[in-house]
Amino acid sequence: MQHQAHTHGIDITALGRDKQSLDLAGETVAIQVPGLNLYYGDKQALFDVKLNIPKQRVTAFIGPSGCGKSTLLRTFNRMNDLVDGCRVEGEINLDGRNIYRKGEDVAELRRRVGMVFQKPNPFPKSIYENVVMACASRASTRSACSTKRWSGA
Amino acid sequence: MSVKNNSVKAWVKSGSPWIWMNAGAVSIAVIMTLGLLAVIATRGLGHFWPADIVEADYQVPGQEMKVMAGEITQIEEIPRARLAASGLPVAAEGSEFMTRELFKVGNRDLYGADFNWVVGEWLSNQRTPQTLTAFERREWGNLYGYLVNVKENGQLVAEGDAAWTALQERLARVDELHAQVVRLEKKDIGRINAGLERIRLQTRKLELQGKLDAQAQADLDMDRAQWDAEYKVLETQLVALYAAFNRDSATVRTADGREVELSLGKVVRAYQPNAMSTLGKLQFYGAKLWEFVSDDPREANTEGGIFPAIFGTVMMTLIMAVIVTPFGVVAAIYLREYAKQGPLTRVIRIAVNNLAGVPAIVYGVFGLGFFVYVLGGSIDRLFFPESAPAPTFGTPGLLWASLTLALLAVPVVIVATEEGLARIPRALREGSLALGATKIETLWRVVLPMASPAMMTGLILAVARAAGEVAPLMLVGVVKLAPSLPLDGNYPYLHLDQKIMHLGFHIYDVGFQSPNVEAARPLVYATALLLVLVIAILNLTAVFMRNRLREKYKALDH
Repeated sequence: MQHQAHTHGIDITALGRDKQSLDLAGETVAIQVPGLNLYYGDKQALFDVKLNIPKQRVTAFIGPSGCGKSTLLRTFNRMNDLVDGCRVEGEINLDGRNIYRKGEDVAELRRRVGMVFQKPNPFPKSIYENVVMACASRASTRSACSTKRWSGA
Repeated sequence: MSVKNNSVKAWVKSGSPWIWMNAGAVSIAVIMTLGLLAVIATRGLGHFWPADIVEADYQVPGQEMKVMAGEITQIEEIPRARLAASGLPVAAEGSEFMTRELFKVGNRDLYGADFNWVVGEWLSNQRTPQTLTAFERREWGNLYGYLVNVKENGQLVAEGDAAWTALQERLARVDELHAQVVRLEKKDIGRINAGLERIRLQTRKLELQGKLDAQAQADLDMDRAQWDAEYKVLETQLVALYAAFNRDSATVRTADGREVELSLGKVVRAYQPNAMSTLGKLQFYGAKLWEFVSDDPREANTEGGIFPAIFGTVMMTLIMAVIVTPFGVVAAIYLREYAKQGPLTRVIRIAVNNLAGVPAIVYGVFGLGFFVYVLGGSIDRLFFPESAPAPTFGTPGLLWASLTLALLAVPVVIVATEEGLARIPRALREGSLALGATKIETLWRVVLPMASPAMMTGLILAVARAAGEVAPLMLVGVVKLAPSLPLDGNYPYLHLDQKIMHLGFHIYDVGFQSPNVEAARPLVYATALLLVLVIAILNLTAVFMRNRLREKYKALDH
């Protein structure tokens, strides 16, 4: 039964057929990329990427394989830092703040910018532990994690 | 004919010969392992079985006949010419081979040597009298003879047939007294000695610090007087026990007619193997086996048990495992997770792998030079100045032996842990990091639990490598006979500065440094069997734990 599900952040009605005209200029910008270059060693992978991702909308990247979609996506939560030899020139502004500035708390950024992977990779623990894995890192665990119990896990 | 050729060729082509060859190699390895175990088991465990005592007339041509009694431990064929060459009056004609038998006649205090080679052909009238008794003694080995009578304080108590029951009763009593004496000496007087030693060290410490005034001296004297008073009480108890201990004696007639007075306090057990039923022999065998693993050694390690060696080996292996695991795991984590994978890391990895190839005795020399003299000496200077000049840690001991073996085993743990860490799929690490966990949290919560089977493998290999090493231990802490165990009731309970006994070294000592090689040889096999068993038990425990961990942390997409 599809009643108005209490989902955060997505305005489902905006996806209706009659709301096709999207006016990018009137949208609030969540992530702003003024001009991004990314290099894997000497090879450049992203060439001067400029885009603005609007808030509370679903934005999709479509392109041929190998064109840099995953790379760009991973720059948004700095997952490319894990790759040896990956160098980013430029900035990405999340809510006005550059996430590539010196002294940025990357773990905190990743808690704010969530990522769902292409292939499921559950941890070899119980379902409950998988679900609370994120909030278990933080100090205020007990009350926040107890709300997850409703999942039946 | 062509059909047969074809089928043979087809069989060869299908690769079957290689499979057979592999299976053959595996079978040979298994057979060799089982064969090794069988050899040491039969030669070692056969030692505890109560063999029949044989009495025979021995007639060397040209000499008087004498009666010999004892166990026949070995029979071999030997060329007549060799016997003749060794000076025995062997007849010139006859068969080419003669038999030679190794007779364990015991009675080393009477005859000088307890094993004798005799020529089989010159033995006659072999008989196994039921009343021929073997007396196992605390010193001078076994005594074989006939029980004549039992005396208490020199007065005759029983003789003839009644003597045997009286003997067993009194031996049981003497056993109980012996246990009491040992407990008194080791535990109670040991405690007093530890207390007195503490006072002595305290005195010396105050002296060195210049704080030994009249008041402190008076306090210490009072403490010492207390300990002395306790000792006086125990001493009277001990004297009484010893008097009771030496009360009984027995007269024994040896095979050649001599009569010997045997104080029952010196006898461990007396048995008549010719009169024992199979069940009786099995019970005796069980008792001897239990004595072997639970008792202290006697007679320069050629008799008695090897419990201190088992204890020392297990203790040292456990301490080594506790030291090696954190160091190896942390080093492996650093090399795999944190270090930049450049030339320096490669050099470090090569160095670690080469450490595994260094001969063990070099580790022993390093342990002696660095751990014992440098580290131990510094610890002594800094923390134990009052014991000078007697070294506390500046001498080989349990701690340095464990450390040396840990050094030996570290490369194995590092390599095994690195392998385990490398096998963890990237996706799991990235998943954890994407949730906002820091690197250390990812390691602790996700990566290390999944790598724990590999760490257990490293631990198993480390234990296997280190528990079998003997050469380095000879330099850093193992002795022929240690007076006490490293774990006892006196503070600080675990004595890391004490020397220990070790099963591997025990095998070497009993086999090569023993004054009585023939008596010792079966014990060498029995100790070797026990060493294999101890290591197998340690390894099986670790394997069991590893299997449990494997089940728990199996990655779900495999």
